[in-house]
Amino acid sequence: MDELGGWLAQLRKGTVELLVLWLLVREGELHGYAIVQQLQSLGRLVAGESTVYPVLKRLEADGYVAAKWSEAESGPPRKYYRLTDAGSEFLSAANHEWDALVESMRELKGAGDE
Amino acid sequence: MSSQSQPLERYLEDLAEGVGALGPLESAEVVREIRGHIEEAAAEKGGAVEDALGSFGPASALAARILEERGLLAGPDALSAAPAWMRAAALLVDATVSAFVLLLLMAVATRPGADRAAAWATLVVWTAIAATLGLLAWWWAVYRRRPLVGTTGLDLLGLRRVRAGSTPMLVRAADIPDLRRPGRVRPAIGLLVAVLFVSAGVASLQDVAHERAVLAVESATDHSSVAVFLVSDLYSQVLNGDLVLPTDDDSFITSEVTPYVTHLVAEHAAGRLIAYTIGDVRITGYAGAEDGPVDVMVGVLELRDRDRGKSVGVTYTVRGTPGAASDDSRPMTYQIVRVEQD
Repeated sequence: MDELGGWLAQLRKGTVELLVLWLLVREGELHGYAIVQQLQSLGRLVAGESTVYPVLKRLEADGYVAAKWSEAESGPPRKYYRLTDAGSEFLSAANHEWDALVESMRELKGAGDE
Repeated sequence: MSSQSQPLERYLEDLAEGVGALGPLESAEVVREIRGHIEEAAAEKGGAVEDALGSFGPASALAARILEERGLLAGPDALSAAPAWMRAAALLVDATVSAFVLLLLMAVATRPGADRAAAWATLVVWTAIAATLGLLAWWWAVYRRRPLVGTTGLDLLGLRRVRAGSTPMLVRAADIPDLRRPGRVRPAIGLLVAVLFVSAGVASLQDVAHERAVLAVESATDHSSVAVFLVSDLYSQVLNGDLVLPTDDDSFITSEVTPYVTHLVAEHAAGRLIAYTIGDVRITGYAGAEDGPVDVMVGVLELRDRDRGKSVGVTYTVRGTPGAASDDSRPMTYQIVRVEQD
């Protein structure tokens, strides 16, 4: 079970970047807390705070997401993220690769199931 | 700080330290964002800050993940320790500044005319205060888990102490993202302060040296009055015809001078020496007792005899030698050691 846990952790780590970008495509603009909440609601591929924030920092540094601070109606100010044009281009290319990967995996898995 | 916010503040301080390699602006933004997340999560969960903190994991691990994602722990932009020569140069600068301060304190404590006991007591007190403050700073840094502040050497060499996750590093400020184009103001100010500091120290040492010289001249001048008295007394005795030439070493006339004095007596007996004036007194040198074994005052007296309307220039060199005691009240013995005629 521990081996499975380690593999899952690696899988999450590799996919959280795409998950964040897909979320921003779907929602338009989200702050860090909301991103974490929504990813956690996905269940199996749960990505916690300690994973999401480092990835957000890298995406921001790479220019794939832009951020702005906004005062909340109540509570502390929030930093909202949105996808940039560069992020969209990257996501488009990443989606293409992802689809190809999933297709290959499906084929291989199907062969294995037979 | 409430007991509720204390763990949060401690966590954020650790996080800020851990992401220090991002530079001041970005690390402050990270801390601000994480603070907002934790406060929002805690508010939703009924104020349980510890639970919200737990979901982030240890601050050092979170910081390491952020640095890792930003490519500062591995890859082409990874932080690396500053070159050894820069670290050594920074250490040398700090050691020089410390030694200079110590020398300055010692120079003040040992300045001429100072009350030695009080001066050394002052030196010891200030050293103790400095050591205490240093220990308190060290203790505070350990207690608060904050690195010690930058030093003059680190600032001048453009180095920063940062933590790459939990690993302390000394890196070039120019390698830190926020500081890749570092302003020149702070190093310039540091350099200016260092130059002013060193200049003030040199000026202070020069003041001490000047004060020593002034005291030496004052002392020589004081002693020269004794030399004038000796020469005057010699001529008074010659003119009065009651000079008794010395027969022992205690006389103020040395054996080398005796033949000349005998000649003076003969001249007076022949009626050719009727008066004298002291035309000039010059101090040609003086060495204080603390400067070594040669504690000698040399005074040059120019004396002119009037030989039936004709002046004769005579120069007397008087040497003052201290006695056995080493303080300022030591007894001096004076001797006329040389006589020269123009």
